Amino acid sequence: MGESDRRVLLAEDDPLLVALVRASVRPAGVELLEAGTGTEAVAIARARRPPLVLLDVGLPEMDGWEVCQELKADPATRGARIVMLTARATAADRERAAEAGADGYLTKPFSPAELLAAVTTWLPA
Amino acid sequence: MIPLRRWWAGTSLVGRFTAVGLLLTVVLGLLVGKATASAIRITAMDEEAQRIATIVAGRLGGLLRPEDLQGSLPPDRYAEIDRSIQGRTADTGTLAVNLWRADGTVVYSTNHASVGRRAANDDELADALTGRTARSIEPAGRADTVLRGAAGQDPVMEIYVPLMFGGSRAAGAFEVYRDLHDVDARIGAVERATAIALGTGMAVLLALLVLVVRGASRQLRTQSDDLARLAAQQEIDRRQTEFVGIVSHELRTPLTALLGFSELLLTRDVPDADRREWTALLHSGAQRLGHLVEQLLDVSRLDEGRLELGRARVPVAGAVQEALESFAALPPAHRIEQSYRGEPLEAVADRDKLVQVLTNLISNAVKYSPDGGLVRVDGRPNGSTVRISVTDEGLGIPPEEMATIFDRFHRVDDERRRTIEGTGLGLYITRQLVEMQGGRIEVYSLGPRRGSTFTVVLPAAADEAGEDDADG
Repeated sequence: MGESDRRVLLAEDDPLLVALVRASVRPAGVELLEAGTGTEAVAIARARRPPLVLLDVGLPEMDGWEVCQELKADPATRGARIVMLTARATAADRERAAEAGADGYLTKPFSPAELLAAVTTWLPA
Repeated sequence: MIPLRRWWAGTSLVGRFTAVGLLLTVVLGLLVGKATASAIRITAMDEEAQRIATIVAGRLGGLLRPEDLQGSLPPDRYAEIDRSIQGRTADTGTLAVNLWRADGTVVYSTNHASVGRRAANDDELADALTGRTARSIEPAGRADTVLRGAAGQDPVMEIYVPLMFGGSRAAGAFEVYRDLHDVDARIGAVERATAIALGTGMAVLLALLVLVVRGASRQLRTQSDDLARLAAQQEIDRRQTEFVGIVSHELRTPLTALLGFSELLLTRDVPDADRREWTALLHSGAQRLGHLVEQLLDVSRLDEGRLELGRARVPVAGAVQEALESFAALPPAHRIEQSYRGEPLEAVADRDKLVQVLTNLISNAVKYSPDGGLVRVDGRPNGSTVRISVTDEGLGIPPEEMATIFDRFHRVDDERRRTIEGTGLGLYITRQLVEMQGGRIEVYSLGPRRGSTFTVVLPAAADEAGEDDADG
């Protein structure tokens, strides 16, 4: 906690991508919290208050946009940086990301180096 | 009659209506024409009577003096009148002329034997004596008694022309018999022309009406066909756009894993254990990609009818076992049970395709019961068929989706299913494969969240005993 809070919440339902993210961010020395559904992501974010959330758009139960809006609307979780993992990078998606209050987004297929850079950029120093 | 019957049998309902309508209209037109012609005939007869009356009054009126009608005519006076009347009526088509005294006695007749005859009860004569011209068409029988030489059935018109010497009452009247052959022929021609013209006119009008209505309805039909085609095209377009979206999403996830893990393997120096794990994950991503490509190829083969199927006796339990091999790493929440009746249960099928069908159904059963549960595979004989059912305890199928669940690109749309991976091709391919093997697929579900059962029905492999009592 405190100055060097290295916890990152990953909300992703595909085990293959969870494994990829886990392997990719390993050098950053982060503690990865994992959620498989949108509601789980909201619950973990509220309980653990991680400073960074990697949020897949296509989540079960609540999609990534809804989770993002929910977290940004809640004073308890508003401070977390949110990076969306999207399948497409259309203008509509970018607009939607901004509308939902996301801080950034990565487009699939993203490379491990890109992901690592995003995590180190967005995690508070 | 036979060609007519054949035509009738081969004609659409609209065609029959049109034909009967046309026929009725022609008959109606002829009847109306006939009625119109009757009115024409009466008018024509009146006109003819008037014409004869005018001629008779003009030519014969001045011939007589009041004293000629006082009693019988002296012979020399009679002869003089006879000469004049014969001469002056020769060209008028009259058959006979009688001259009546006001008391109803014939004082002169071209048929001399009639002189002295008295009228029994002659309305026309009574009418004429009041100063009006009267006419009647004589029935042939009566005309015969009057007219010597007139043919029995021929139409004859009797015209009374009042003979006035001043005052309001006539002193007598000429009775003129007019041969109506020429008039009748003329009127008949007019009648026929009128009837034909009206009949044809009405038929043409109806035909035009039918054409206009059919044209309009064809236009409407074409328009609604166009609309339906457009809507169908839009639906296909929508589904294809959706399909491209789904496919690109489905492609992107394994592709991300492939690129990601290969990059990690290439760029990071890590222990062998990590290396092995990443290689396994890379492999699983490649498998998923391969599966998707396989599905797309299946669809394209099915579309082009290029899929070749073998036919052999396939032991059901063996095919299920082979299908279950793909589920070695089943999530712990799922259990699979099998049961068979009627051993050895054998179907006539293409073994590989049957395994593919079963794999797909079991995979769906697992995939669409995200909370886990029992997946049951049952095989049993049913008459000359084999029924293989895959039952799960999962999300189930809403009743309104039952009809479309096997459609290409179709996916049941609800909140929980939206995030389960799928291309909407699995069940489409499955049904096509089952049907190509001479079978059918049935689906049953109690509804949302109450599980579902997919049953594949295939022809049973008949053994010798089975063939002997195939009816049993």
